[in-house]
Amino acid sequence: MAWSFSEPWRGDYDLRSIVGMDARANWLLGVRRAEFLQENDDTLVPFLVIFDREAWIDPMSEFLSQMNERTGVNVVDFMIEGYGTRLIAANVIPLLANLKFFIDLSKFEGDGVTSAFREEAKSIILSNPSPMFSGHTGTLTLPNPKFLAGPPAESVITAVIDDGIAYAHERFRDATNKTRIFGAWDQSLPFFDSFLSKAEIEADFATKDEDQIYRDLRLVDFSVPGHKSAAWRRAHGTHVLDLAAGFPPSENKTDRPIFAVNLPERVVADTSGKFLDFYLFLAAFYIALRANALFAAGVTARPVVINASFGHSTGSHNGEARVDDYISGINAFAAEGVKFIVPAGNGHQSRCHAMINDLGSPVEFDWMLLPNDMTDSFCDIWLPEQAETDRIKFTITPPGGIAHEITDKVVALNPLPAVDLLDQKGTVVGRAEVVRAALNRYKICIALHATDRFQPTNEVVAPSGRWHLKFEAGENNLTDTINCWVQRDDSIYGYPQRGRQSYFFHPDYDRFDKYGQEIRDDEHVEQGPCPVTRKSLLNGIGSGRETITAGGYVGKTCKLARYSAGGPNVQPAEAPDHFRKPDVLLVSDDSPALLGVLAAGSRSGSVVWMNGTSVAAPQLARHIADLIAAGDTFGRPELKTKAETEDPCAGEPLNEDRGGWGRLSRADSHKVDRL
Amino acid sequence: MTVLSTLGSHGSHGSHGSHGSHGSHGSHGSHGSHGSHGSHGLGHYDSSGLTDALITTRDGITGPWVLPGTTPAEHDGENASNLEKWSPRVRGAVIDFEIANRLAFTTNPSPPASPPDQADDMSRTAMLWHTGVPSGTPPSAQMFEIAKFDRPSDAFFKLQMKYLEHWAELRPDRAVEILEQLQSPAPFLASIAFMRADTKRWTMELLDTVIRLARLVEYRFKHSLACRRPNEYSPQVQPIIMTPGHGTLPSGHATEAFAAATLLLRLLKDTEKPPYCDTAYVIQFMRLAARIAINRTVAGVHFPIDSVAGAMLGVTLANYLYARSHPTAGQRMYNAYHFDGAAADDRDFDWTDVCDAAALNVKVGGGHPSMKDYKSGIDLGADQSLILEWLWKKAKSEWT
Repeated sequence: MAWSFSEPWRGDYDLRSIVGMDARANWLLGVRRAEFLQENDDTLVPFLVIFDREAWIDPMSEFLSQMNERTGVNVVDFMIEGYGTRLIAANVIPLLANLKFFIDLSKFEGDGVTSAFREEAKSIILSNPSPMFSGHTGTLTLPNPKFLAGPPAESVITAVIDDGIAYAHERFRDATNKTRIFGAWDQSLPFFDSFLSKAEIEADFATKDEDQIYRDLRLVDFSVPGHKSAAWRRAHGTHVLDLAAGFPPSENKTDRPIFAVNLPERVVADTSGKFLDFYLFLAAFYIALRANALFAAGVTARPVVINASFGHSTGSHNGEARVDDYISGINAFAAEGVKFIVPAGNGHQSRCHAMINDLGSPVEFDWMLLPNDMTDSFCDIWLPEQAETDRIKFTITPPGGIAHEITDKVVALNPLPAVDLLDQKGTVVGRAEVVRAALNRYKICIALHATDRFQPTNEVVAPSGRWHLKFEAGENNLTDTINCWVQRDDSIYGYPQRGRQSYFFHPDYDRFDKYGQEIRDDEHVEQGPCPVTRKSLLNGIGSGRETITAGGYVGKTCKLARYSAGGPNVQPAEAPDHFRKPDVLLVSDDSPALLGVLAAGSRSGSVVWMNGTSVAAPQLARHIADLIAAGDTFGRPELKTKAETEDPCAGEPLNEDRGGWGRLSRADSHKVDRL
Repeated sequence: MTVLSTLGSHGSHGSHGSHGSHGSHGSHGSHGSHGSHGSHGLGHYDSSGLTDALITTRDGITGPWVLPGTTPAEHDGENASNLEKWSPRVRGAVIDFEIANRLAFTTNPSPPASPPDQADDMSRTAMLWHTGVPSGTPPSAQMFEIAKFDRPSDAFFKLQMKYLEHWAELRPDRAVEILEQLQSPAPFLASIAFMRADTKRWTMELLDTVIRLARLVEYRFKHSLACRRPNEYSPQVQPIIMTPGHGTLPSGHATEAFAAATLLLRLLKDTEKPPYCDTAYVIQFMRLAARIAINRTVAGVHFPIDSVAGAMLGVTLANYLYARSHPTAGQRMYNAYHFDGAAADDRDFDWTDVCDAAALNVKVGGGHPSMKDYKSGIDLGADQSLILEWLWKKAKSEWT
């Protein structure tokens, strides 16, 4: 079927009809499909499918081959070299498919296979297309060659999933000028060129300088487009990997082998993290796979320490992070499991969260869209988990426009409610949809066009300014909290500035106290009941049970870093005494004046500062690797004990929601003092 | 301030303050030491107040006029050691003349008739020559090749535009360097081999000399080849510094940086004193020169091919000046090279494609396809320059 992008999306398919479908599906594959798919309608969209039970893995083969037989459908799955099996981690399967696949899936046609898939799939998480998978059909095999020589038996494996990891850096080499990186994956490259072996990384150490090595490895190749993070003096991934597993070569730490994965540029550039999951899953799977291969080569099987200093601002933030669904699969696949460490996130002061507990009287506030925001803006309104509907009436009013109403009155019905949002002139500038997020869980997803575009085009822009949000009571009582989150869409260091962060505005939210000091916590301000809050802005991948989450504190003052986000502090019934989010705090700024902590710059011999909870997580990873190396049992209870007994600021009060179980100092093996 | 004054003639500095928030700057201000070449220590000459004061002072103390008793010995004429007596500005002019009076420049084909023939105009070739010892009246001389340039096609430059887009990403990372490098590469060279203007004054003069030579030649080539700048190909390059008012190829910064680096390396090697004669210095200086050249692409004012051409010219000119400065007959040797723009392939600038670090010379074969031999092993024979030898020896004596 030839597809023309010049045609506006007329809603002739509704992907929400697939249970568990990504909440953004209609926006990405409908309204904005021309931009999202970039190449054409045959562009492969990566996605994760999480099934309700592992037993459905077998019928998958049948389903995939039947789908591939359909006219115009292309769906690609993965095999693992040496295993002879499809790439599956527990009940999670990564796939790639073109648009027609999703459309066919959404149009329930009564055939057995499609309907079985629809019944079994618990959630489908979309990611963005990547040049890595351009033009493939059939099956892709994840390479997994045997290691002929491995590190010492007592080694502990550390892995970092990041952006701009400079593989050839001396901090990752041993005393014989060989790299300690036993495998690297550059997800910005075409699939078959993207895996690097230890031998390939170190081949030219003796004869070429680092600029030439990175050009040859295509990590920094200015003849091709795209951001080159490792060309910058301050490279996020290099700094992070140094904190996690960097040592001077003279220490010859051959018992600390490393795996490194650089995420695709397009995934990194999108600060919302909404496209992270697929690549994060594959990266973690690759690490577990290669770690198993090292175990087969003689390394004693132990937990693999994986650090991912990334995050996303989506998710329910209620301890049910979707990352749990697939990290548990990785955990099961790795011989002795993984320790997955992530940052708490830096959004504490972002004004991106609002909570509504009571609708006795209407609750109103604004969603502030900035001018010159070249990326789309998204807001999720999570309705409480309960069976009754008709609990709220929600209206959204564009600046100068008319009020659009949407209720949860009809959510049990099919189709789910949706409304196009019109500006003053009657142009459709966004869309609000009710989406089923789980069995009894619904959310209202609002997507708005960018407020500015690069070139004079016919593309729609949404008006910037105050989008007014109003919540009123429905027929039934609200018995639980409504949570609203604005998705992060600012720009990160080094990348071109495209997005500008939108946020909630309420007159009772005070940023500064009467002395002009910045207010750090909701508790410390005398203000009226304000729906906009600093609570629960924790990294979306950090709020679950499978991830260990590091917040940041200021080393000199022992106080929380101003940006370090706090969790929902949901404590699961089975482990109330050792579950808290974030788990612990690490130094993310040396002092209020000496920002960040020091670690490797992108080229050997250079040192740069970097801050944010991104630098806290790898310090925790290093601690955990040290504990595993010492043969200690390591789990949340042990981490709690360590933080409580080794807190360098014992006695300094900790914030309930943000402080975790306590603070830890930097590991002795990586301490660069500046004070 | 003559010695280094010519280095600053690019002109568009003054926009400091815009360099980002990366926190690594703070080393500005260390350049002040260059000023010590002049006579500033004696105060403010040539002001009207001082002139008045000198008149009244003389009136007050001179007394009756007395004929001179003893007189100073006469200076030797045309003696190179007199150079030390002249002020740096004058010395610079003498040295420049010494170099330039043996240079010749030709083009082939001849400059196009008016209206210009398109085909001829596009395939411009330009050559730099050394004029051998002239003899006879009027003098005639044998000409020796130094460098030859065939300019790349317009289509080739267009092909290289992508590098302008890709490298622009690093502007926030390199802005401070780019601005500082609008002036002399000397502080950057001095950060590798220990040089201060007050303790290595002759070395600094020697480096300034080769940079002046590079300027003299590069501008002539730029004028002849007349290649357009990147921002004339696209409105989106938007350079972060003022685009210089001359042609793009060869890159002046590449020519000067590679010329200075190569000549300094020749000098350090000549001292035969460790550690300066170590290979580590070669790599470091070449990488520095390459970084200076690449920064010009980041800034948005040069194509990578400009740096290729400039690096070749810089290395060639440094080796030529070395040959002319060499005190020993039989060792006044250099190689002439040919930049063949038509043979260039579309690749990024990599100094190892252009420079043979071990030989301290241009790399032909196995590197950039535009690099070609022109004439190897040119021997200047008895063609001795006492002036250039003098400066060389003075500079060398500083590295003991």
